[in-house]
Amino acid sequence: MSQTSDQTPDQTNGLSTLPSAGEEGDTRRPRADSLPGRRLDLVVAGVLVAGTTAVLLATAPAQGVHRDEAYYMKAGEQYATYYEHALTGKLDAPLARESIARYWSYNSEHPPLMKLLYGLSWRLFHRCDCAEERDLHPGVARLERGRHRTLAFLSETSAFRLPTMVLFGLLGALVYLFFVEAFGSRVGAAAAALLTIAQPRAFFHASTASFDLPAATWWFATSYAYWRALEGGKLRALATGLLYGLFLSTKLQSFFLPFALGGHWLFLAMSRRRQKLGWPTPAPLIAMVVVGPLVFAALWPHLWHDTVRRLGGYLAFHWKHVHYNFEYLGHNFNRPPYPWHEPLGMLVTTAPVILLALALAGTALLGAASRLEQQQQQQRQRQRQRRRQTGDKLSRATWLLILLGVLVPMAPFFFGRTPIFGETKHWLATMPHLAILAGIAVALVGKRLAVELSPRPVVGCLMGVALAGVTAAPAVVETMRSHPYALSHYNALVGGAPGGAELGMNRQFWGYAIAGLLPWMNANLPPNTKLYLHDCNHDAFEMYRREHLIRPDIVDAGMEEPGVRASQAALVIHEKHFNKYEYMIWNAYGHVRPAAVLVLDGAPLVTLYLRDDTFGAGNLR
Amino acid sequence: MRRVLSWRGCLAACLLVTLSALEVYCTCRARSSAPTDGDWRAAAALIAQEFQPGDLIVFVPQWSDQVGRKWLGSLMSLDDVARMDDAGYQRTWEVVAAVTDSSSAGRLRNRGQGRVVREQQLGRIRVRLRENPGREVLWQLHANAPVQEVGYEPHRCVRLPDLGAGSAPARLGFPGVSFGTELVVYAGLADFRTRRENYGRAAIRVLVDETEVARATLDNESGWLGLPPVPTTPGEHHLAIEAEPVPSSSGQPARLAVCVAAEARR
Repeated sequence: MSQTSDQTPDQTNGLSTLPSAGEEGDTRRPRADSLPGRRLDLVVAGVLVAGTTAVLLATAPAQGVHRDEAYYMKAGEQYATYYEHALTGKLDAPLARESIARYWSYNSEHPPLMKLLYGLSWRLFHRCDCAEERDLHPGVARLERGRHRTLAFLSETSAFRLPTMVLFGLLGALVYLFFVEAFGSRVGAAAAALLTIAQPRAFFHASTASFDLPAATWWFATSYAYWRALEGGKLRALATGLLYGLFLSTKLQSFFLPFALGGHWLFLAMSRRRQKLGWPTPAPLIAMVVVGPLVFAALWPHLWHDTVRRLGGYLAFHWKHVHYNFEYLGHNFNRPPYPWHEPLGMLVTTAPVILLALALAGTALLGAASRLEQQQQQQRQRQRQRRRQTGDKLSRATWLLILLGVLVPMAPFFFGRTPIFGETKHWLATMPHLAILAGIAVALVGKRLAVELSPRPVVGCLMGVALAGVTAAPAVVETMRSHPYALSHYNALVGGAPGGAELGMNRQFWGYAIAGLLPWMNANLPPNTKLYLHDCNHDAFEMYRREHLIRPDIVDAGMEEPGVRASQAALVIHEKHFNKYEYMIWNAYGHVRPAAVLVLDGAPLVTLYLRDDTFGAGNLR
Repeated sequence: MRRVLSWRGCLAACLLVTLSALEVYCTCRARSSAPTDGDWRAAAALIAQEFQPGDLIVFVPQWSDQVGRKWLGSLMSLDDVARMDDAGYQRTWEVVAAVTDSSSAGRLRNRGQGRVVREQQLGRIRVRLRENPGREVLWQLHANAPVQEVGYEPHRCVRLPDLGAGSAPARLGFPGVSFGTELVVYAGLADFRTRRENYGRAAIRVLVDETEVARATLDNESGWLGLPPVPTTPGEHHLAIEAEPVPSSSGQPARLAVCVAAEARR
């Protein structure tokens, strides 16, 4: 492809960085904005999606089923069955109030999209023995005989979780594509994508059938679409609206995105007015307001009747949400006011340190990043001129969009009155934006190293890979070593899980960690043991039974003190406010000696007591 | 024109590599610092060999307690783990799991009362035996009481009837208690759920032969609160412990679960 004499120097190869103005570029390597370059980027994005999904499929089976996940799996099975029964004629009057209520009234406090996807994925991919275990399935979804026709290559749990895994891979891919499009640096893009994926707690959530990780993906996807739509194009605006509708249909974090995008748009409008320029196109925001709710309503049959009342019920549930217990700096909080710095404290103690350090550096270097973006935009404009396309040529204040993406998801928790459940999951959308800031720092380091002036493309490519690899290495190590108990992970600043315990930070939540004790229990519990499950809820326990991970003769002893008194074995999942349950067990069993303790780097996660205190000791990990 | 590598670029790259390597090292070290099963087995064998009835075993840091009790729990009773305080024990085994933080290490050195008479490093565990003159316990209010959660800690204690707003004082009376030279009383608000749902304060009074000898105010943050020790005259006395709600300025009703323990010591 030829260059015209008034062009700024070309952007160079995909794994190097931009040259400064006045420097020669290497025309042998695909430019980030050229067609071969774009194809390369799409291939990389595809690899990110496929690779992330594959890694998650391989590692997720070790991770237990958490409380909420079990509810969403159950709901998903029902919602998918609704469509199956409706489409196969097994459901009379599928649009009737009673028909919908039978399938959709369960778990109506959360929107349906991800649950439906979990159910559809389960329906397509699970290995089926549903008729044999019909009593473990929700009533409306029970299979009386035979088997579901499925592709049968996943366990039930993995089949349910697959959509979240794919969305996590998609998040990494979108971060990569956004970075290349905005800043033109594939090194920075690769680093940002890897740092998005290699985060212990995000990786945990990506291995679950729950909504917070998908919410982060939809936040980023909608923001990216909005950013692209600012250059014009009805289809881009429509895409923004559609994606926002999917976000609304996922979880209530969606209510906060308009603050970020609206604030960004207002800033753009004001800065253009100061320059006596035209307004930025409002089309994407209009599409969000118009198309988003339509998608939301279309996807949620529960709202098709008594719409106003049920929508009000959904909103009221979250407006008046209960306050949970969580431990922070040695204190158990369960009512407001909460410390305003809790989200920052959790961020600083749980995110990989390299991500935090590079994000800080990237923030400080946003000015330099804006110059990269300007160069990239000029290239795109020349590309459009060659293709005779029109579009908004003006700055999109990308730096502000990124900063808003960091702050707005966290913002509700700075006021000290918002219920906090556990840890970072409600503001996971912050993390890819931090990764982008980190990628900016990496891109500029690469630029400083003059990678693009390497005499041979291969050397430049290898140096870019090395740079991205060095950046991602500690995050990957932390993610691997924390799995599958990443909700107990704390970073190197704190000293890992033991450091978190020492600081008095939230040990865990959601009751999933008992999965680590299932093999021990299967091997050692006496026949027909009544097991007190503590914070592992009954639905999660039933999923373990469906997956044949727990012996069928081990049964749920019940809840609270009656459950402890009826039990022969009792679990305690360690969170500060749960200490009373351990003492309940001591009172009932008359001794204080655990049979087994599951630890992460020496910090206890789950303890198992046997009423009959007569066996050998030994840690599990 | 070929450009010489920028020194700033090299410096930034070196910092990046250093930070990356350091973080990997610290992450791996967190796991390698944890005591192994072999360390625990050796510590348990040592203590079991030299253990005497009446010895107390404690674990440092306290959050390693479950792991410690798995290895040494057969030498520990409910009375030990749910004790009122350490004063009744003449010998205390401190089992100190390795920590990486120097400030924690500093706290560990000052952990217990009494002089160290034996100390041994076993892998990543340090076992320390302290001896203390101790106190002879003549009478316990809370003997055989169920273990309650008070301030997220286990304590055998006796729950007074729950106090509500405007309710009459709750009272426990014990005639003919054999006192020694000292009366020690602890109190707290039991059960985190009750504390969460009720925010209030309770006034505690200790009366010997109907004369007030100690008082304290409990609230949700007090935890397990020790009242000032009371010097007593040996012999039989009447002991009473009273609790009543402190009126709240908000006027909100509160249900307070006051739990008390007491020992007469010599």
